[in-house]
Amino acid sequence: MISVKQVSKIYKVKQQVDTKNILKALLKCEYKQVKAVESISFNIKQGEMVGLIGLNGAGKTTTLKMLSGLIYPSAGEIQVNGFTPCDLRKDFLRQIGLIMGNKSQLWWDVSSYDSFELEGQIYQLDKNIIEKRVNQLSELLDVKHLLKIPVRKLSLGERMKMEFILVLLHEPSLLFMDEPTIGLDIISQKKLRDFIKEYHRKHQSTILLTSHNMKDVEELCERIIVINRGTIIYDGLICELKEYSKEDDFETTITKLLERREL
Amino acid sequence: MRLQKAIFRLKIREFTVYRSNVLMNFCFGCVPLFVYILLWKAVYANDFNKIGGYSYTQIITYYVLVFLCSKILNMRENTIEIADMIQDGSIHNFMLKPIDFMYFNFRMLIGEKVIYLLNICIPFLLFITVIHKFIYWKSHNIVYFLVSLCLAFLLKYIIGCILGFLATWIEEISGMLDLWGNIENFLSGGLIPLSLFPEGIDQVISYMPFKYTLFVPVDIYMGNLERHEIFLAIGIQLIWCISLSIVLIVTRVKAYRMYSGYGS
Repeated sequence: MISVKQVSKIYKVKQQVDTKNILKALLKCEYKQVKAVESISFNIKQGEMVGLIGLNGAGKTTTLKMLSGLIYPSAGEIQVNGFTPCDLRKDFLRQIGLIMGNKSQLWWDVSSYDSFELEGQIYQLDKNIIEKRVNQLSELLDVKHLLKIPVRKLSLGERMKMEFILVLLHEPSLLFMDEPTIGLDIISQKKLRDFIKEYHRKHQSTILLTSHNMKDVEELCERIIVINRGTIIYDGLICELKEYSKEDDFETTITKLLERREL
Repeated sequence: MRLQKAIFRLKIREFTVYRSNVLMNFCFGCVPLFVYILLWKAVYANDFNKIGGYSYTQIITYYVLVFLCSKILNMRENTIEIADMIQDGSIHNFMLKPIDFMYFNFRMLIGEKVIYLLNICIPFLLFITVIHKFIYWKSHNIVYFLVSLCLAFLLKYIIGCILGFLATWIEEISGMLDLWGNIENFLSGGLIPLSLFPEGIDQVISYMPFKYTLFVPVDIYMGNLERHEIFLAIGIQLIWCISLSIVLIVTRVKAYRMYSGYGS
């Protein structure tokens, strides 16, 4: 269960200075406050799969980072499974998993299996359980033959599948995914979507997913939260939005919504 | 223990990738040591029996020990790794694990150092065989030396982590690390034994942590300290470790609060 109440996040961003003022800048830096997220509120129930949609810089990743505890909110209150995420309590961390499409969590110079072994030990899993889960997940994702190959030699699609195995090894009940299909070809995207669907069906885990690929969201989620310039402009079921907009194409509906055109 | 085993396995596999690099660094790293030995040989050729309380054998032993200890105690790469992780956002990977980052990082470092030592032990033993007759072997303080070396390791690790976390506030820390490294090398006895400094300067250095990160363990091995002085030196090392641990905890808490999760 996720509960977000009136949460805001303001970043302090260092300003670049003109060459004229370079000496002054050496002594004093100028900062600008950037509102990434402004007073957002929503709730997500156990077992829900929700899509977080928005343009670049809308505040999606910032929201995910606050929910997973990586960054502190500037204002408001977040409760995830009864924990305040930024306390980074071990019991909380055991329940969550974060997958970022543009960040690798695997050890680059060794095989994926070595990373899984270490990950399993960090989560204090039994050796047999690690082996069993790696086998199951790698069979589902069709990467069993790649387990002993150094990560640096894997393609982007293969690496992404390994990232999924790594994050799902401890079977988190709450999964945050930040653009998991970024940069993947259409076949790999489809396979990953099928995998996420199957995993969600089997484990009934709560999933919050951000993606610029509307197909990901449309296929996987029933509910979406649309963020624009840090504020929520839509929170509801996809079918309701489609019904209201009378557009056949989900992508066109979202584009209109983000451009603040009449639906 | 199972975690440490998994870390060892991972580090061994990583080292198989960088094995030649490590060996090359070590072999070329021996060059300055040879230069020091030749330099001091020339100095002692002028009928000096002792300089600053050191005989020729002692001074050679000093540099061999400094060479080996500074390789073990070198934390620069770990510091840069922490700073890079903060800068590029990959510290995420550790913040979200149910294990303390410092504890995990320390375990990784131990794994790295043990494998490094195993990797260099053959060339080092060969090197020692060549110069063994110039080395002072009869130290009675091996146990105290090892205790002091462990504390020096901890102290340098803590200092390295504090410097690494400063990357939250300072965008480019490599310049600061270079400056720190030079000061540390000079004030820890890495260039010349601290007992060769004038007495006043030696006194001032005693109030800083640098001396306790290299000179003290080596000095204990050389038998230059009385029993009560050894206990005092180890006690001061402990005090530095505890007080800088507090600084590290505060720095880390502040760094996590300031952290904006760049890079994604």
